[in-house]
Amino acid sequence: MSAEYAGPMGRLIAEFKKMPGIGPKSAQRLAFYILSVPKAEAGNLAQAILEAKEKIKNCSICFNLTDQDPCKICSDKNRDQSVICVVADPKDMIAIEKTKEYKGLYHILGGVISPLDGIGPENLRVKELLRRLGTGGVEELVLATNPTAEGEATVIYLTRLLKPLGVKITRIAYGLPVGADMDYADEATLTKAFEGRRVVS
Amino acid sequence: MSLFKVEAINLKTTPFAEQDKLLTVFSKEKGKLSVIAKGARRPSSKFGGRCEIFAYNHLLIAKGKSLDILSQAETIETFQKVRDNPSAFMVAAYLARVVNSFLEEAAVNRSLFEVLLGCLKLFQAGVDPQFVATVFEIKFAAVEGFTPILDRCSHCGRKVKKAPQNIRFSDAAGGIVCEKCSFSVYTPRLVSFPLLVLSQKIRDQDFETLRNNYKQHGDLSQLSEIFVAYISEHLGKDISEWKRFGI
Repeated sequence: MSAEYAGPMGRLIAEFKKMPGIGPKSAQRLAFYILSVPKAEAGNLAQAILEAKEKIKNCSICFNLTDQDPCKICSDKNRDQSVICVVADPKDMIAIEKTKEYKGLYHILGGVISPLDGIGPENLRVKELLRRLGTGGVEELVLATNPTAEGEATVIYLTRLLKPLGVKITRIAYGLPVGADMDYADEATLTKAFEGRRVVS
Repeated sequence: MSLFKVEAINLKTTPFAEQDKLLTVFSKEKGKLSVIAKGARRPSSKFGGRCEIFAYNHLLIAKGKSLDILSQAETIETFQKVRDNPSAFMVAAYLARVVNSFLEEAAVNRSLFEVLLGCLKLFQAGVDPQFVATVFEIKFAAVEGFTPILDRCSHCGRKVKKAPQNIRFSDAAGGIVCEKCSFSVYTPRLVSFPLLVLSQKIRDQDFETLRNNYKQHGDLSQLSEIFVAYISEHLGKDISEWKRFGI
């Protein structure tokens, strides 16, 4: 489709088409939108893309995406330095940050153990986590991977590996989401919710 | 929109689009299928744990233009213990990977379905994962029609003198080979004949007997090695790297 358009327009459509979830029609729509906006706005977009590409890197401590090293969270002295929350990727960290409940630090593993995809512990940032724990001062490790088979395998692996270090290891709770209808809950979730029940009085 | 019902085991789940999951399931009625579970990644999704790997469900699927859409799911067996035990999980993942890579889309294969289901039930019953892996490998070769030939030369059909211990075995020929063929046609390896005989016994036993008697078989890692090399030759893929007994 992009071949019918004038050179630069065709190129713009072709570039949009490479993006995830963007098909030929969406790429065409985005390209027309770019043409319709003022030059300054298109410039802002181009600059934002370049700036993100140039400045965003991994934090050397927690491996979060950041434009400063160490990242804002790692360099914030008001945060609890004795707790590290282990998550699979930066999106999980953002989800936890939105709760405004957790005030500790993070460690981003860069994935979870997935034997079906050939991803083992050696492909995750486990050595880096061990190094952080080796420097001392960490009292609790919160394992916050997804409650999937792969997430659980990662939790079991990390628990076995880190238990001898004497750090308190906790796992975020399983169970029914707030506002859910129990009638529609699946058996695995309900079983886990029962296993994780707590005393209220 | 036409709907159809299947009984299926989840072989693989992949995140799809914003909130969906792409499930690769092995169904009893229609073989391997790819199905979209809409919204399955949302915490409040009705699918939740039903989309987890190894879960065995009744599925109601709507025929889509390109991909089919999961409409309803009801669990028959969660196989939660398989996911909770790391050794069982790693071995079960190996089984799922072999099945997934072997099966063509929509090719019905009831015998292999029963083998996979039987193996998951063995894991769930707490049977040693190494033993389950060996059972799977032996039964997989059997249901797919390349069980090793042990009563004659697998190349020329001549009688082979039974060896008390090691015997010439050729993966390519599909069983034991006589002295003559081993020099002229194949490069066989020497494998334990009693172990090969044991494999026939395991092949013919049902899953309930295997569950009750698994302790008497002892260490079968050598037998498993023979079958992994044998299956790899027949599938044209080295499956030995997929097998891990722990994490």
